[in-house]
Amino acid sequence: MPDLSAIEWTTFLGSEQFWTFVRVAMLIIIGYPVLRIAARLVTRFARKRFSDQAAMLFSKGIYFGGLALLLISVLQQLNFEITALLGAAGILGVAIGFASQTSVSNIISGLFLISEQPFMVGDVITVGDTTGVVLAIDLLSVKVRAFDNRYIRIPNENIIKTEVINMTRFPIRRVDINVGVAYKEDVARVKSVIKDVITKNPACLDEPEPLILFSAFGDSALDFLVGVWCVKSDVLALRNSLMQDIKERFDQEGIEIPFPHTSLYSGEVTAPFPIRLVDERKEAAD
Amino acid sequence: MNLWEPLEIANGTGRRVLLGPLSLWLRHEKDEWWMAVERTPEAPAGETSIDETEPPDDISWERWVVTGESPVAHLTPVMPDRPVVVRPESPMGIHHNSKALFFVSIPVWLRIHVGTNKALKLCEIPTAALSNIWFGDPMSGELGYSLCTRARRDLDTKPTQPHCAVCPVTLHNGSTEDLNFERLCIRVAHLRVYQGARQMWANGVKVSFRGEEQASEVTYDEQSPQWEKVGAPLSEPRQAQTRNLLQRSFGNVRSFAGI
Repeated sequence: MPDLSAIEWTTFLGSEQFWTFVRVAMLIIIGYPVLRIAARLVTRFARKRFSDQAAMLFSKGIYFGGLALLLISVLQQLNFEITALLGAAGILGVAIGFASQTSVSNIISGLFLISEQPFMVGDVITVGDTTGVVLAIDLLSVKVRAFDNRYIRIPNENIIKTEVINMTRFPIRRVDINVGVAYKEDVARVKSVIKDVITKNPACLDEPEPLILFSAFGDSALDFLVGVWCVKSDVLALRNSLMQDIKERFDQEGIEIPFPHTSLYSGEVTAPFPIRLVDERKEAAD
Repeated sequence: MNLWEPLEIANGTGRRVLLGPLSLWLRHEKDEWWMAVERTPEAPAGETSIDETEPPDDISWERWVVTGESPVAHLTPVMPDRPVVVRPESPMGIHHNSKALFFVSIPVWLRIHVGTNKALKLCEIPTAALSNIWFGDPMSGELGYSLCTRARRDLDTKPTQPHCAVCPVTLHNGSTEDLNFERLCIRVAHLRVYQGARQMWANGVKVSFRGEEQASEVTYDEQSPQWEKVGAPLSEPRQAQTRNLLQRSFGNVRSFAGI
């Protein structure tokens, strides 16, 4: 190790290189911990006001953005020509951007989903043909667990572009059931029986009032729409029990639920349909 | 015969408690407590008894294992665990600057404890099966129990129902418009239950209507009801009473439920 005299030390301590070294060291020693603390503070603050996903995004944005700035500052202190570096990074960014259009679109869509909040973790949603419980809302996709326990990943871009039905956003739901009765039945009596069945079902809410609507003169039956309200957790149980109750009660009351059928007429409603019996063996003998 | 006193049930025996429409069977088997319930809506009013009638064979039992406690059961009447939405049989109107007192009978729940000094709570059961109702609009609101009432204003004509606590409700229309309401939401979690000579009571509720666009001011009486001599409360409120709550209490707007 070279033996530096006091004068050489003094010269070294006053030199530009030394102070550059000190500045770089200060930047790293002070800048990096400050960056970590700032990211943590942002996470803590954001968690109180936004969702966990949003807090994570803000925190990572602050951290990586700050790290990039710190790196550029250090390189500038060391007199590196960063313009070329930034130019190359820009070109690289464009190339990566073209290659990752879908991913970027998913990320942007994810940000919109987080801000708009059409659903939250735990909600039951339907996207296209997929229905299930939301497990996670991530940057690129939403994870859903279907009721048959399949794990489904839906890209955020798809969700932004498609109609999303949130089954559990509101606390109560209406269960609609279509009921058909034979044309010979008394409409007022049918409505009264249905209303009594609804009243006796414990899952049905008294209010909002149930809807019993004579909706159509169907091809084979008089069509009724029965709409009953329940809390969102009782939807399946209500649909199942109410349909069973209606069928059992109709059977007790002698109210017919007809099969689909078609009536044939020969041209006149009242004239009998002409039928001719043919004995093929006799005709053949003749 | 006082239903609210400790009920000693020796090992291997049971009791039937009759309270209005509710038949409650309690059995004590070694270190287990068994409970079965049957409700008969058409049971004669005013019936209250404790006897050793056996339950039907097809009744379903609930069981709890409780070790080390004395064979004593305690029944306590409490208010329902959700708000009660009272619907008068016919719509009511209260002129502005008018006040009206109604007596509403609210079916109580029975809280069942076992052991000395009510050491262990087994469960709570409703004495009458009330249907569910949503108070508010379909997007927000609260789940409650539905109670259809004649909204009597006179105690003398009110038949005694042993499973109900009578709640005096004073409605004051302090707005400049008439109040026509079809339902009133009483948040019974703030009410106590008392035993009078003839029937159970809850402390009174005063609701002050301040207009359609504003929440009503609700006050719960601290004193015991004055219409009958009552002792100490049989049970305390489920939630601490807060003075002068501002709550949405009246409903007369029917949300369009759509087709």
